[in-house]
Amino acid sequence: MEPQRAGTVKGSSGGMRVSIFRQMEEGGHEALIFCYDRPAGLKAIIALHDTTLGPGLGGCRMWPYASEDEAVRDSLRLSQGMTAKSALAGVNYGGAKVVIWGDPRSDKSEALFRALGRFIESLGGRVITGTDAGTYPEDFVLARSETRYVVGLPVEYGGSGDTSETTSFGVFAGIQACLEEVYGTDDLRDRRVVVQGCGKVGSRLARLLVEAGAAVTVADVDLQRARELASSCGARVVAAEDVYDEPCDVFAPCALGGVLNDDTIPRLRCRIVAGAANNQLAEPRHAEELRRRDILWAPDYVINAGGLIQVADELEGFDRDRVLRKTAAIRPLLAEIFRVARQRSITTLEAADILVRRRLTGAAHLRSFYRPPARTAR
Amino acid sequence: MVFDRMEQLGHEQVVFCHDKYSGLKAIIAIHDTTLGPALGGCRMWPYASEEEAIIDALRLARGMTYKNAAMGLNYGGGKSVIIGNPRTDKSEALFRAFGQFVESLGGRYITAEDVGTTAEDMAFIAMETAHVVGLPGRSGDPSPATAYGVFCGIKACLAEVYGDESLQGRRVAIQGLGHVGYHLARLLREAGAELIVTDIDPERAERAAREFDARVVPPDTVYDAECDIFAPCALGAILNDETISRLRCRIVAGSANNQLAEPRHAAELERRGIVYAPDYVINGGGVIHVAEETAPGGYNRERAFAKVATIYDKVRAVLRIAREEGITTAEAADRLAERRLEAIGRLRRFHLPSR
Repeated sequence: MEPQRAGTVKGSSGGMRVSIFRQMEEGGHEALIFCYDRPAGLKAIIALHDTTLGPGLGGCRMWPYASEDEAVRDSLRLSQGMTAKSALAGVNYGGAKVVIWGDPRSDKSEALFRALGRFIESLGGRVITGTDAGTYPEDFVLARSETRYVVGLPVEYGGSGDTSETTSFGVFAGIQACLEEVYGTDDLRDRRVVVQGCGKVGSRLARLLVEAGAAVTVADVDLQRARELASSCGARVVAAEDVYDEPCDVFAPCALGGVLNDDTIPRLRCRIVAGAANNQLAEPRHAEELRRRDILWAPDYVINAGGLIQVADELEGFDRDRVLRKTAAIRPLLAEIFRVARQRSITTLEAADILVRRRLTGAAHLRSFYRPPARTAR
Repeated sequence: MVFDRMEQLGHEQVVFCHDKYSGLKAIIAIHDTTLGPALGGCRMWPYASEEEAIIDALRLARGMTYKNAAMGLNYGGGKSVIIGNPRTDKSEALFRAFGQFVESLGGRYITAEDVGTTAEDMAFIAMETAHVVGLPGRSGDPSPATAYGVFCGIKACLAEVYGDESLQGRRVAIQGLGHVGYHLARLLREAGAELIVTDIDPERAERAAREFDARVVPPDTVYDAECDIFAPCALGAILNDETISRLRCRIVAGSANNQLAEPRHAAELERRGIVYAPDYVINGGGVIHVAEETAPGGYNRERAFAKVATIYDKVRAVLRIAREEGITTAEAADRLAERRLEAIGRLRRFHLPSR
């Protein structure tokens, strides 16, 4: 569900153990479920943040966490993010996340994913999961033999397949919203856009931008990959370490998280930051730092929601046109976030939060309306 | 660390439940579901720390796996704890929120009343889930069933030790005259036993003296009472280094939970020639009784008590395993439970098209 690889998980290993309930109280989480299967070697944590809007939807990450505390923190943090993401993507799902504590290179097995599938199934649809860092659609083909509640399966198993096309389409629409806000026009002709990361989403985005007439510069830690993309679509290349200094209109981070930090923000020479990467801000305060410098930031979880919209659609019988229509709505949504931020003189991150709360409160109120059970035909 | 403990004791699932509106903080521990859905009570207690609550939930859930297995029930082991003070922190919303979490597990865990919760609390839980037993107006107070099970277990011990299960003229020292202890005293007296009783509440002790012609002793001297059977029906951990050397009985058989301070105390009892009826086997009448609520056709008192009476056979089976295999009765009880888990677990390999 999140197209990125997991960055290094922050937080102290060892040290004082943090109370699980304390963390759940702070984040407002509903449930944290420890799942263990000895023969399969499964240790998984299912975090459910908020199910006001519907079943918890969130990817399943597999990662060799240094400690249980780290795995707990990661699952709680990521599930909370999923609540906000689903709320703004307009889908009727709550926030969840699954983490498998293990090394994706050495600890995978049929038994492991089937055991996980059984736990997911036992929750009766309150949690729906799919691929994330460290897991692949093939893993969920295994899990699927034990549970209906998986998405993001390969096409031949009834899934919608690769989500990078939808994600990049959503980011493109989001960039247009940013241009409109800053320049009063969404015209991309001769706009300078720097794309950081030439993976599946970054490369598709670069092509869309070039087609729309933008002057695109690409960068990747794998220089060869950047060169190949540039020559195939007519973009320039900049060294990965110089990407923050490149003068441009739009900086589009499509690789790692944490790229907007104390070191990089002063170097930025753009008016807009809008890209597909997850967790772009090193810390929430960096949203304020960008605002102070008059750089418009498109909140990552809003602009990169295309993948989520696609997999959520699988649960209603996948329809590509419908998915693209829903993904196009990222543009007016971002426009609304920018409007709220402008009017209240707050960051776009804070404005997005306000819209999240607005949707959750509205939906919670709907639930208090008593609806008689559906009548069946006689 | 949660996984460390789960790994050590073989738990399947531990669920942290939080509801910010009602203030619910609960832990549902599911130990083993080889035999069926995990069945175990919901305890409410003002734990000093989260750690303590986790340890308690995990320990008690595992105990329920063994108890349910030994009782021949098709239930696995589970337990839940609500962190809070049962006198001040209860509310309708709290128990209904808890009921929603029980419901969300889809029947993998069935809850019931326990220390700090009542049948009325279960009624709130039942508004949100079907997976709760021990509701008002169904099987009711389980104490008579527990007491009856202990009574049957005592007879099994008598048969083992004396070759004669009659209680006529047998001397029994009962520690604690709460719900279970009181019912047990009545059953024993009706069967012709002579009673020595004690309770920290003198009124309870006097009532037993009056009704059952029992001799009352102070709580701290009950261990020294000369008798055939010592029946602990109050606190846990009363079989310890200090008390065991004082016992002047041939049999320890009572309803209290966790009677042994440490596992090694079972060997200590054996060394002194005292037959110990493992607590979770002899006090399983309550769970047999409440589980009857889920039987086809619902609760039936006669059938429930007939099932409770099988505790006689279960205690005899445990004592026989101990004798034949040269292990303590506590170890024998664990083997009885583990063998059933293994045997029934193997049945699951057989594919049956779903009915």
